Amino acid sequence: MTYKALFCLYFVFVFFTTPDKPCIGQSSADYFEEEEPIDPEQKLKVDSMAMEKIRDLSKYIAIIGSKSTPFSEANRVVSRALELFAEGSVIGVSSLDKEEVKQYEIKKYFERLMALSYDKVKIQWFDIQYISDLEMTPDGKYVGVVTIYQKFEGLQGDALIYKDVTKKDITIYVERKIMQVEGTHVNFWDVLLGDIVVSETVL
Amino acid sequence: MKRRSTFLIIVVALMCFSEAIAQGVSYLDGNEFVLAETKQVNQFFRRFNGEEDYDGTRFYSSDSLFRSPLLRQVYLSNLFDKLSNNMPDSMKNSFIFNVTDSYNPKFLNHRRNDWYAQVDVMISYEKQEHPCTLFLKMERENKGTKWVLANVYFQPFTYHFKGVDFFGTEPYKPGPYLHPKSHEIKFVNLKKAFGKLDEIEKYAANEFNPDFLTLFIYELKRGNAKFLDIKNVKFHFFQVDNWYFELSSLSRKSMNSGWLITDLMRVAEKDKEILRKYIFFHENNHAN
Amino acid sequence: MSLFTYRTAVYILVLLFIFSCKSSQTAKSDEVDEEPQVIRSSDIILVDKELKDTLEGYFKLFAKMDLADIEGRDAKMAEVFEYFSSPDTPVFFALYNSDGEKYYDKPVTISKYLHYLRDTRQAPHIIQAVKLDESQTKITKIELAVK
Repeated sequence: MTYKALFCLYFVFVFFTTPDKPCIGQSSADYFEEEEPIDPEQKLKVDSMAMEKIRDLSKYIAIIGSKSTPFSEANRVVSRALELFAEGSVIGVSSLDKEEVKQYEIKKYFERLMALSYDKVKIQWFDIQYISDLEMTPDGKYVGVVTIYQKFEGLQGDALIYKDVTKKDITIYVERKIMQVEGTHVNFWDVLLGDIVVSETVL
Repeated sequence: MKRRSTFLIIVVALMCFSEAIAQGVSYLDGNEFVLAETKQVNQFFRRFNGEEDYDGTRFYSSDSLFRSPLLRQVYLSNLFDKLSNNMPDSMKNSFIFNVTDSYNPKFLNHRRNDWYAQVDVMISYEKQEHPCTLFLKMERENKGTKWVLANVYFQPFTYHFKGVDFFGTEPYKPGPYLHPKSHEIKFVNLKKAFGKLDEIEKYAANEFNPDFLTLFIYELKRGNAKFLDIKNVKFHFFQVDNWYFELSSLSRKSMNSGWLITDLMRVAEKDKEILRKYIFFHENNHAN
Repeated sequence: MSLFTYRTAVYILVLLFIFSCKSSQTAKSDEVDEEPQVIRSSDIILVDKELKDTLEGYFKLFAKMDLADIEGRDAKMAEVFEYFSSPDTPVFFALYNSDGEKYYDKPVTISKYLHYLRDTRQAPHIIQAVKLDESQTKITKIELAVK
């Protein structure tokens, strides 16, 4: 068969099989890359780094929300807590009785927490969490979501004045970076927290 | 093999019996519910595919339980909203049988563009609050992936296009037109046509399909529309051959909670485009 | 006080970076090994046990410090800074080795690190290596790893 005949055959095939509008097909073009974006063993290390940062965050929150923390100290801890986050991160809060998700800039959220001033803040963790796979973003970073469950208690003296149990879905951005230290390349993982959704749960 | 069976027995036992045991417990013992909850859409995919342990530890292809049909059957039976009446058991069983068939199993792949996120949001438009529905799908860019806007349903827009037959199902009704000799009279009849604003879309070509996403972006840029809040998120899956299902998040104190299948339908592949259009454009499918 | 006492040196971290001999890097380990990359072979250092114990003692002290005692904290910080070239001396955290490459967490300054220990009520790290300045008296870099 000649080249020309093959081309004609191909043309006829394409003509009869190509729909005129894009539709839901399962053609090969619908698939994206299948490979794991990150080596499983490295992923475990990155996961534990992310979990550590989230634990640090809740310790910072307990300090910020506590009245015994002097104002200047609370401010210092707020700036340390902010360093854990990617710029522009927001926190969305949804409660059981309201449908919409209220959004705050992360800095505003900490300022609100400072203003609440409980005598003591107690944060308890459920021992279960879920860490998603890491997915590559168009600019070559990795993104994942860690879900944790926490019980928050705000006390005035010994009296419990606020309590909630929430599910927190926390974005983590992970980027492999290279730094120059006196002429030597140093590989490091930059793990930053991103947007957070806090949902009140019925637990 | 022994390890495998033991694991499966534990999974089944946890799913079947914990509900009864956990009645009336204080919240700290509620961990059982958290463990059972499908906590992320990511976990829905992994459980559907049999790619993780009951506590969320990933299986890889070298693990003996990776994509095990038996494990998948156990997981899948708990991935449906058990309180929903619109999915008969026979249909659910048929779906589970279909996707776990050892000769031709079906798996979900989040890196495909045949599943859609439906995000119900509030928009301020012309100084009034309106519900609006955004549809997003996955797209590849560079080496990564991202969600992109696929469609918008916004009642103030659709109201102006009542004359468009989105589904091609309406019977013929005579309407206004530019007669076939209009060119001879230099289209002077256009002025009359453009005066009939409520029917103006009927002068458009057959293939005219109003693009609400364009309108939406245009109105946001003009400052007429402003994004307010997110109300709800759910997903539409067209990935499994001859099936469609809807995935929603259900928060309840139960062993059957989190991201669950809330609607299931048999749909022939050739009809999926009609269903997608229905979900995207039909007013019954949207809050007004 | 001498920070560099050979006699009492117990933790000998000899840094061997021979990039030209990559073929020898066959062993792949998840554990943080004894070859810090940030502090280079040219900075061969013997970490004085006394120094290591002293600094790790301070780390534990900060983890248990009373959060309300700001003055006490500042006094102890000043004591620790005596060992360092400045409060901004970088602290590196070694994570793991993969394919002959060593990976780190994002570095912080010693000042921030001490605050971190106190705020988070934990001292999870041990000292792996230090680099001293030319006078061999002040630390200019420190590398830590999780215990």
